[in-house]
Amino acid sequence: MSITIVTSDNEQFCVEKLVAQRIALIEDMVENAGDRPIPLPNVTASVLRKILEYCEHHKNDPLPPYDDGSRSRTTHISEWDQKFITVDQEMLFEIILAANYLEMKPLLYVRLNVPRVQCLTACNAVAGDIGCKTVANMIKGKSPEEIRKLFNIVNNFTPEEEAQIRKEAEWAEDR
Amino acid sequence: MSLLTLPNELVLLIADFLPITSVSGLRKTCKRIYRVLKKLNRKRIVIDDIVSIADLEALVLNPASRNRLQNAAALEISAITVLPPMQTRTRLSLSSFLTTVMSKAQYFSLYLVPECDISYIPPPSPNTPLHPTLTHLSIINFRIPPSFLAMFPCLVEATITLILTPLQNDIVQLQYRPKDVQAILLALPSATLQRLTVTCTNLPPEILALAAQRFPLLTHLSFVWADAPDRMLGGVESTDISRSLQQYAEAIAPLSNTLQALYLPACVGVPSFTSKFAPNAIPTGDELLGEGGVLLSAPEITDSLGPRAFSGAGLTGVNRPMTRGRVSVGLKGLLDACRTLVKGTGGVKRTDGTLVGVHGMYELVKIGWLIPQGDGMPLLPIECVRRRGVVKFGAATPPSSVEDASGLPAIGNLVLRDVNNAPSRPTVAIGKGPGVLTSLSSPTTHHIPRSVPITHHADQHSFSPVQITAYGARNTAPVYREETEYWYPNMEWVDGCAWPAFSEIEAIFPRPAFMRY
Repeated sequence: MSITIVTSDNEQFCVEKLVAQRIALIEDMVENAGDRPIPLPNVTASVLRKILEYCEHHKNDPLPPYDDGSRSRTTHISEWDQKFITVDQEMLFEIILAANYLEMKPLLYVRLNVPRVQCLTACNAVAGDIGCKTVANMIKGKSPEEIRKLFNIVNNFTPEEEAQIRKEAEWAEDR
Repeated sequence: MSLLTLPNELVLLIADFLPITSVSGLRKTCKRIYRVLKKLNRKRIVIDDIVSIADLEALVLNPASRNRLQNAAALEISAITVLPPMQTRTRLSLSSFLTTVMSKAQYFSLYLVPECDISYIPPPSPNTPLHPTLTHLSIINFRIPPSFLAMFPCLVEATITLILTPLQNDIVQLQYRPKDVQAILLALPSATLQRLTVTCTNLPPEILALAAQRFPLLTHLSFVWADAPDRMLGGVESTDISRSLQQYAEAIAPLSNTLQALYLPACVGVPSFTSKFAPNAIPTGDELLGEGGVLLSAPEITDSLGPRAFSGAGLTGVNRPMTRGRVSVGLKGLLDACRTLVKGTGGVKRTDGTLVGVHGMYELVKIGWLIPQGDGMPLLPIECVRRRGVVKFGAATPPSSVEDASGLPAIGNLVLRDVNNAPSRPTVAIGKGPGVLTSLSSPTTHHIPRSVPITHHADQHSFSPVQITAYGARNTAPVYREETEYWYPNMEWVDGCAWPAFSEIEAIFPRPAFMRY
């Protein structure tokens, strides 16, 4: 059984249901859509192609559980996933954004639910672990200037603000 | 498409995969990311509704939350009721919780909301190990045994406070007394402590001396006891410290190179010099700023010691409290007290680091006072700020402001000291000695419409504006520069609470609302 997905640039993809079910958003929409094509107005064909490639590879993997708070912060990425995510920056961020939009569980979907403990992390956000891990790996070990250069970020701090930030971050450093 | 096009939650998620050092680097790249990452706070855990020690146990028994606790650097617990010292399933005590579960923590804050009765922390069992990493400890409204503090050999900052009004304390008698404070001081680590806040019923010089001798690195020392001065009513244990000021000055002398801020507790009154003009309970702004009748009459001070003997008043009993009468203060009396405490004024620092023309507490730039004014009267919190700067003489027009030493070039082998505590509040500058004031400081936000030099008449205890012509006449002297210092009463220090409270942490992670209000 297959379903049809229409991307923002009007390209149609016929996808095996087992594969499409890896995408939470589509899984939810299938029930309501019946036999009609499912529109994805925020995803381009090139990005969807990559995402479906990922889904195809992982279609038989068990669905990840909700994050119970013990999620490892390892940035290890499996060999296949690493090869999959070896793309240019443009595509990398497109994948992260699309994964966020599609609520993809393997690529993404972590939920933190620790009663009483209010950890002010972003773990309750929905996002793409693999993409985010990749970006994190790109950032690791780099100075602010190197990070700016890597991502083409313009430093818009005044010298005074920079001095202030230097002072305030010391406590948070790992020792 | 780039990193900056991602929504905030995705930037946060990326940061969540980074070690905190890399988070720090990422935060410094640009304003937007900086603002976003201020929210990333995975090392700080806030538990704001603990109702019993069993809640902590539940967290410890849950693998997920236990994992987070074990990896956290900062934990804040706000209890909404007394924590019973019960040990149930895990035989958990606060001590064992900290040393076993939170063994990597650097910051621990335990706060009991003031509406609750003061709670107790039981002493740790004898075999409880020392906590190897904790540097910041804040225990508010829990009475602690000294042995609990002895568990933390690396403390840099400690806040040990009981928020009780004196009226409440009259009933429950729980506030730390000097002997309690002595035990606390002896339990704290001497080699590392830099900032200490302890509430105390009163402050005999011996306690100050003990703190100064034990903690050579102290930069901030506060014995303030008050959270809401306007609620202070009867029962304030006021102590005339006029005769203790010299002893105080001697006591803090070992900290001359380190101590920057000293806050004295509510029980300390600085008696004013007497004045005929005493119609008001509290000096008005003009009075405090040096115009009009400055001070309050307090002839009854020495005769009005209450009948209630204060058994805990100091180690020596010298500082007797007053429960009646009125201790009052005027600007000059207060600033004189500050000058007495620092034992010296003026001075510059040479390039080799040696001080010239200065004796005493060169680094001490803030002294906070909570001035009791007697039964039925609110406390008067005043923070006196010391500022050094350079006054130019010989200019064509009289100076309207003190020029900061910062940014000025060195003169010869003298380095003008950078003073960064200039208040952005209405201030008035009082020159040293009994003579004429050199200038009135006028920060940019100065809203007192008097940016002219004023004269202090030491013999008459009053102030008056300096005539410009007179000032100009003096300006015929050769041009030279010297560092001059001033004391300012900061009247906006109104909360009566002198807790430095983890300033560097606060800069990163603002204190939760429940801690602010």
